[in-house]
Amino acid sequence: MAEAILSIKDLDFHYGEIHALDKVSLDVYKGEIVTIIGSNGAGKTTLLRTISGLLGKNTGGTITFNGQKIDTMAPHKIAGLRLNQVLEGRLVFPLLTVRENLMMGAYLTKDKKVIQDRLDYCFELFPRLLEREQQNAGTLSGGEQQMVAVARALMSGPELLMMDEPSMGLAPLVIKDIFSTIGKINKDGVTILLVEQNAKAALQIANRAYVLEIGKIVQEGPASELANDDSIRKTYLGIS
Amino acid sequence: MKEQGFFQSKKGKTVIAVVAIALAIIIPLMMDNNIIFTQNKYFYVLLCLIGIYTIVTSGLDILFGYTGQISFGHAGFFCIGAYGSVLLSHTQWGLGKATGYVLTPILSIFIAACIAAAVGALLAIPASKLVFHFLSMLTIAFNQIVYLIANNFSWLTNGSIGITSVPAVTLFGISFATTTSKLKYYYLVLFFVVVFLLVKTHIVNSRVGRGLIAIRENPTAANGCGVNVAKYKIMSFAISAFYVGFAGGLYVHMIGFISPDTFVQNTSVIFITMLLFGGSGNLVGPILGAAVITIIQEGLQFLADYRMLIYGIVLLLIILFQPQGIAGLGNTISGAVSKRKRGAANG
Repeated sequence: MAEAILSIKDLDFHYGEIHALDKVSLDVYKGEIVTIIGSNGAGKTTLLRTISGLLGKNTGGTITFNGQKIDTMAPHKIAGLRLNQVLEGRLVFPLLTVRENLMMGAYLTKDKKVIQDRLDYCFELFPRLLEREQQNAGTLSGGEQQMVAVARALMSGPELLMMDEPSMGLAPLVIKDIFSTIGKINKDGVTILLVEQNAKAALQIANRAYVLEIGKIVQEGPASELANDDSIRKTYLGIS
Repeated sequence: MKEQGFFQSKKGKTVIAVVAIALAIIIPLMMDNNIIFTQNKYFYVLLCLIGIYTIVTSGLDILFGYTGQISFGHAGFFCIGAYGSVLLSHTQWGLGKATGYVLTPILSIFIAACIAAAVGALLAIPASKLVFHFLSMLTIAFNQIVYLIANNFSWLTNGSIGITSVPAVTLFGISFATTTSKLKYYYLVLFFVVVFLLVKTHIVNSRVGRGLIAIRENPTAANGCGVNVAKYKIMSFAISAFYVGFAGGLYVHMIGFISPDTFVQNTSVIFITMLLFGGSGNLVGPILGAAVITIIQEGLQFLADYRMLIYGIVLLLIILFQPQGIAGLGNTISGAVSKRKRGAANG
């Protein structure tokens, strides 16, 4: 396969005494959907936030994005590399309108034409957001806020989009929508690294998957293979 | 799309601003010539104070209303601006005492405000890592340190006795001494109020302003969008301190006397009260807050220390019932009216 767009080697991270990530290595190739599944506290969010620099310095290992080492880079610089994250828990700007939220996503983009194209794309992807364009994001429903969070990340024109639990706290129908949107974004050329507790839905759309347990990668492989793996079925899919 | 009335549109707002400035120029002039009301020198002092506190509150608003960072220590910056300007312009103290050279007061105010901004930036380096309650503690401590320096470094500040005969502002050969004409000084203050409000409008509508607002709304998400959170917080602190420092300079050259008492922690609380009372995160709120609280403060002189009690109650009522401040009163009322209308239509 071609050169990995994101390559992580032996990444360590500590919260004080707690060893949250233990020699995590993974690769994401262009055009893929890669998912990391794992239970509560496995370190999934920590992993994504370490990649995007939001947690400060990692304690060991390297992160390479498009051939560039980013593990000591400040988060606002990483955001400028077209490596963007949809944060866990739909962190929208509550008192800004939907439009202002999306425009914040394009904060580092100066070209007005490019911004307009991306805005059109987002509104095409989420027509609901166009209806709510002038409404404060804090007044939207959970599903709509998740749309804002995804659209805001898309406004930065990412090559690689990292998504942290996009299904969290949403109704089953809304989750279905969100996952089909993820598939669509991927078809339009964005590589996706998806972190999910909803292993079933994640394994359905992903090409490859990693299983994270207490800070360690314990299994990896094609998503379809993992979906049929006995131990995974038992632990994460609730099927015996 | 939301429906926009004329007064909410950009053009409408400009018209209101121009009318307000025109009134602020004409009314005192008419009073001075006994056309309306009777001439009352004290009234001009009140207007000057309102103008000075408008600059203070607007500066605080950039930090609190737009960036979401609290400060209970802005009297410290007010103090640095005031003492800074006195020490740079007074012939018997500070620079004048040490070298025999002094700066002309407007220049001294500007430089003192720059010093306040630099101190603000320095304070912001640790402060930018703190959240609300810890930031409150840090800024209170800062205020206390500045106050203690003003009070105890007698060789520099003459301690609690203070410094008298602070020189008057002179610009292009025109003297703005408040001993001869308070009206002139009022116009000087008004000029700076307009400049500072224009600059503020420009800042908050710029790309930097969007970054500040994003930090207020959610620092993590702002960082993820590419906003350099630490840098912008430091900038916000520095700009805010510049405003307040400059206002401190204008204050001291109006009063003509300086002593540490003005810069106690209570003063910082009053600044916050003005901002919350008027409404933060907009242009008009700080003006209204500065005006109303200054008038209450002067009107309640006879209550002495009990005034703080009144502030406390006022602040509590505002936070509970009118969190947008009096600038948001229009919204609240129109909201209540339309609710009743809807209720009537439905019922």
